[in-house]
Amino acid sequence: MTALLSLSGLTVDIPVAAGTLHALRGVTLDVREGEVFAIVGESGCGKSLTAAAILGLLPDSATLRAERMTWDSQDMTRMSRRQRMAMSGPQISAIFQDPLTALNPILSVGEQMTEGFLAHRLGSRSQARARAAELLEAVGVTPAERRMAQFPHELSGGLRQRVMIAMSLMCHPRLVVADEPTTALDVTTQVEILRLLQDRQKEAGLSLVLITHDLGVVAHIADRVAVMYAGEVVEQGSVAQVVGSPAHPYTRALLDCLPDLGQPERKLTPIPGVVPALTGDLTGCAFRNRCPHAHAACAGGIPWHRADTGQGYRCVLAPTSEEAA
Amino acid sequence: MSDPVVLSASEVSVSFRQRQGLFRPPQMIPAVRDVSFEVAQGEVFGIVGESGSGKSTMAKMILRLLRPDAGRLTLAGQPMATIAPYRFARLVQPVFQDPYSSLNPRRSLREIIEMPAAVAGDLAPAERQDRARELFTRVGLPMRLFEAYPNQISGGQRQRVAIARALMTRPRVLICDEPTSALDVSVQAQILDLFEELRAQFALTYVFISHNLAVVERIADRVGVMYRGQMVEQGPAQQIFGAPSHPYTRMLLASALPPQPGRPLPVINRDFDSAPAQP
Repeated sequence: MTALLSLSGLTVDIPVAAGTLHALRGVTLDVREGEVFAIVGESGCGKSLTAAAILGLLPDSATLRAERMTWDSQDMTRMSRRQRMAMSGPQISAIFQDPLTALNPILSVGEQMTEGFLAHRLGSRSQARARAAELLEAVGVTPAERRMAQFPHELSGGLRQRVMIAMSLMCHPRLVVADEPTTALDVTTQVEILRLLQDRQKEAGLSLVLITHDLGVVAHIADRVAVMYAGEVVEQGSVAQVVGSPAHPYTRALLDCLPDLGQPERKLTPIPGVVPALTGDLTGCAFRNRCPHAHAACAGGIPWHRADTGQGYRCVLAPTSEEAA
Repeated sequence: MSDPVVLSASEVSVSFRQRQGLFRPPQMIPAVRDVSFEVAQGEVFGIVGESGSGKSTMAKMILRLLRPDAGRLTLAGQPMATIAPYRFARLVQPVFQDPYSSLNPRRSLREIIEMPAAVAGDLAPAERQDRARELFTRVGLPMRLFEAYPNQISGGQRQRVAIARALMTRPRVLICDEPTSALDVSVQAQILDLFEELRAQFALTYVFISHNLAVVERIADRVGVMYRGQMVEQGPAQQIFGAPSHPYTRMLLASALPPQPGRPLPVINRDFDSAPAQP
């Protein structure tokens, strides 16, 4: 399968008071046509910044370098701002965590839904309104005509997130980047919103990059997943591989500290220590100060193991030591 | 239940006024309706439910931050409203969800932790500092941060400060409102461990409010399920999670997403909305 979006060695540095923050350190991943690709990790691991880099929304002070960063085989690093703007909507669109801050409070639902469609000259005003109404109906924001006259503050959190999803689909994008789309929602609403995303994604055959901290969400909706830690991808593969039989100690640690419904007696293992600061010179494995398997070799160069199945991980532990661990 | 009841609510109700416009009379929105429960000494009572179900409003009433319109709340056998502030501070203390907004940014961690003792008024300043120091270490914070400010520490460390502060008056009951919801999973596991240890060491009673069912199942002895201001079901944790009787509880449990690949998204059935709530 061909990659729609391909990142290789993506590095983002951001100047801060204490020097340079190495926020992304060689992120490599491919998003294929029609798949749900999840990026999972704790706060500060770089998952939202990866989304921002894909969307072209990095802060101005950030420096981006990449061995390869291509969209449909075109080099994204050589695109002008205007070219990136032209992509935003018809090619790539976004869904953010907090729809109340992401939606414009002084535009009605109808106005903000049609804004991008009209700016990209995809049709007339009445065509835009018809498409908006059709999408709102599809995501359960009904009656669409009345909802389009309402403002974001008049809607509940679940309805706002539905509006965001409908809006992200307005210009027929090929890729939707959803950054923690259900984190602010109740568990029941979360399931409904995920189902909606999944249905729309399958129906339109689009690709979805799902940024989340929740491995339960990943397990239920994603095809493939990248686990990030300290600005790096530490493990990548199909969901069955990575969540079902994790190879990297960090992925295992994440699963071991997660309370699971129906198993209150299972012992949780907290991950000791804290995420390292990403300033200054960083060498070796960033997880080694919290890793139960750490030894001297972890301070050196860390190889990327890749199994025949496609599952890969960055660790000095050989693939066979998984059973021993 | 052989242990004495330390906290009880009997048919507690409260409504909020919502303005309809300049000239229309305000509408009363019921937030908590006829909620009754008892919490025994040393027990962990979990309250689960979705946002807007009234769980935090219930917590506010237990903390006397909100006065119920009807019903009775008693603490250590005494009507809640009649307890003097200094005594109340020695009985109940809160731990809130957001460790960013619940710590005063302009006070040092030492001052924050000592504050409840000033309200309770049972310790000389020197003793206060000794106890604060002891608790600071007990919750797993390094002493070099004792005089630091909240913006200098992480979210998990802030929640440890909030817990140390809550323990300062040696209270009998901690009201924990979503205490791990703003934390990363790795930190959440650390804080849950801490809650378990402290419970044993200080013979604490917890009211533990959370929308995270797996967390409540883990820590609670008994659980109350709130829905639209009512407690639709309560009982031992094993029963609520193993054999729930109210359809709302069943729906909540069905919506959990375990980290096991290969399962489809659950089907959410809201048909019970019209069903009458259990008393």
